[in-house]
Amino acid sequence: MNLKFLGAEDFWCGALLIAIAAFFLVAGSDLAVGTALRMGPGYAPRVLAAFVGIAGICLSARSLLTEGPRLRAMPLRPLVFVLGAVAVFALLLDRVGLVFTTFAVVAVASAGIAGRRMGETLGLAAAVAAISALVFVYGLKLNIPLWPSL
Amino acid sequence: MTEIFSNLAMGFSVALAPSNLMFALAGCLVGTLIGVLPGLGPVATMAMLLPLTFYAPPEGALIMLAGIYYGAQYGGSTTAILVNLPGESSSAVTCIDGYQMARQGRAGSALAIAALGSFFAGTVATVLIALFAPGLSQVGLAFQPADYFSLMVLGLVGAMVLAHGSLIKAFAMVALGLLLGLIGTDVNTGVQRFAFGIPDLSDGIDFVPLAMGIFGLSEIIMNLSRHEDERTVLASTVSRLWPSRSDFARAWPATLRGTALGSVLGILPGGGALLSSFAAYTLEKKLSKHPQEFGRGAVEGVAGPESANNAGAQTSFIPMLTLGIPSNVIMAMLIGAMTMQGIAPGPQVMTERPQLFWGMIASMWVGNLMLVVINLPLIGIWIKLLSVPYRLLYPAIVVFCAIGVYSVHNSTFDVGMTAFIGLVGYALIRVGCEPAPLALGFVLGPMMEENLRRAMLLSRGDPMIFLSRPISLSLLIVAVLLLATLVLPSLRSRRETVFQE
Repeated sequence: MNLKFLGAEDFWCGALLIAIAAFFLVAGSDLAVGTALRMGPGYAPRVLAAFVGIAGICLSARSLLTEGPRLRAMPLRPLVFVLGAVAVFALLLDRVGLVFTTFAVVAVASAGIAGRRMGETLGLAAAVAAISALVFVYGLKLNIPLWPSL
Repeated sequence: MTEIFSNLAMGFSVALAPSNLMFALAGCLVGTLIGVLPGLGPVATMAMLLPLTFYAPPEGALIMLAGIYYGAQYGGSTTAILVNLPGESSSAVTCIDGYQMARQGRAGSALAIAALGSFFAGTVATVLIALFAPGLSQVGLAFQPADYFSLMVLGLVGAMVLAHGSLIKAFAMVALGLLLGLIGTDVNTGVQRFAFGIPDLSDGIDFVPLAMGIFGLSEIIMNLSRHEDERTVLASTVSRLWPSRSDFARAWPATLRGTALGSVLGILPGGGALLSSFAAYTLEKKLSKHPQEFGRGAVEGVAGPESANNAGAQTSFIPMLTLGIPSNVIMAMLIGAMTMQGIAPGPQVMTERPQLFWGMIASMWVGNLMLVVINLPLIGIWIKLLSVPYRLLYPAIVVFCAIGVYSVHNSTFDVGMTAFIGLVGYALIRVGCEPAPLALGFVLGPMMEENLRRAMLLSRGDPMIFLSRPISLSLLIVAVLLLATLVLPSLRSRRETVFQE
């Protein structure tokens, strides 16, 4: 069997869409559907999830039959460290306050590019923390904890 | 006619109030800044500043956000011409000939033509808005749920047709966006949908985390995934900031055409700055007597798209201001801001809050004037900013994004949600899907369901209501025509060429 389709962009797009559609269909299976006149809460979600799923099936099927664009290699490093930095923010902010969180976030985010220097990263973190504190907390008076709650 | 003058006069009195001038200046400066810096776009920036607008009066908030949008168009052209990097996606076309002009020592001319062309387009667009908006609002007042539904369908079809690439993928994105918009409490029945018992999800996903994750974070990741090319800034060649005579002679007809094209395309659902600039470039190339010059410094390749993108950016306000329907994601952000201020967007805004309506329109012209004044002399500063390495910029951007999302509801859950959406969004972009139709579907989803339900109730379950009402019927016909452009092979190849740079 020709396994070329495994490299096809459309195949994986279809697979992803089918997975998403299945997720919503299962998660919404307990919602009342109702009729067209009296639409229940589950009516629109079911129809929309079906659309997504059908689109996914069409795409995957098409990739099996015709040549499409190939899936390009995806470097993992930026993805992991940028999203990781945001997650770190979410986890730390309420616990250690903005200043320490900023240091952690800048450190994690900077790891998204290879070959950065420790001193530079620390300096950047300090600058960003200072700017954030000045602009967002003192300047715009947003309610963000700066330091850990003791 | 005189009514328009008195309305505009009132608008200018609002726009020229000192506080609103400050808001406009802030918006234009921030907009130019992010337009110059690649890797940060108006959507992400507006998402960041959206929470702050809550503390400002509605006129100031909208004026500032609008300033960011068209300011970014101005800023993006600077980077495009000097560094061959589109600071803003709609400036991508300007890179082609603008950078070549810079390499030939005509950078000053290119920059001046871009700025002046944009200002002209902005002025014309402001006049057009003032002329047509009231009429459109009147029409909007006659809309019933079925008409609103069809209008939104048209908007989504527009987003699908005008997206790059595969129609199936765009369709899936629209459907997914609609679906994501339904997460939360169903207004009609009070039932929780897809909330999984998480209290933070009971109001659904907020627009800010979605926009930030799918546009902001994924853009940063994409930028990092591409290896940074050598950025040679041609600062030394910016001598005369004024167009040469020959450049000017060839540029001004292109400016006129670009303005006209952009004004029309901006109103279309799914339209705006990006589509207008691409279309204008294609038009100029087709009409030119020297098509081989395109790509080698043809001044029409700068004048046309630059005017078009500014005209398109401003006329895309029309459906939002008059009917309350976002024709693109940027407008959706403005609607978000209005809703935060407690203003329900729709045709009644013009009559209930005329100062807001006309003040916004007038301030767009004021903003354009500010941008010409800012951009031309301050070019040196913008150039210096471009030399800051991206590896220092992007962690700061990540922090600011996170703070912005957090500050909307003081919720770390929202920030975590942003990361998750960034992951899914990036995966979708990697497999060739576009995020814009998803965002549009997300904003329109709940509204569409609401209007569909009401329409069915009014018609007692008869689906023919969408075809029997004239407004609804004509909107659906336009939608079908738009779809037809994809099916008919002759028009299909034209669409391909529009999207090939």
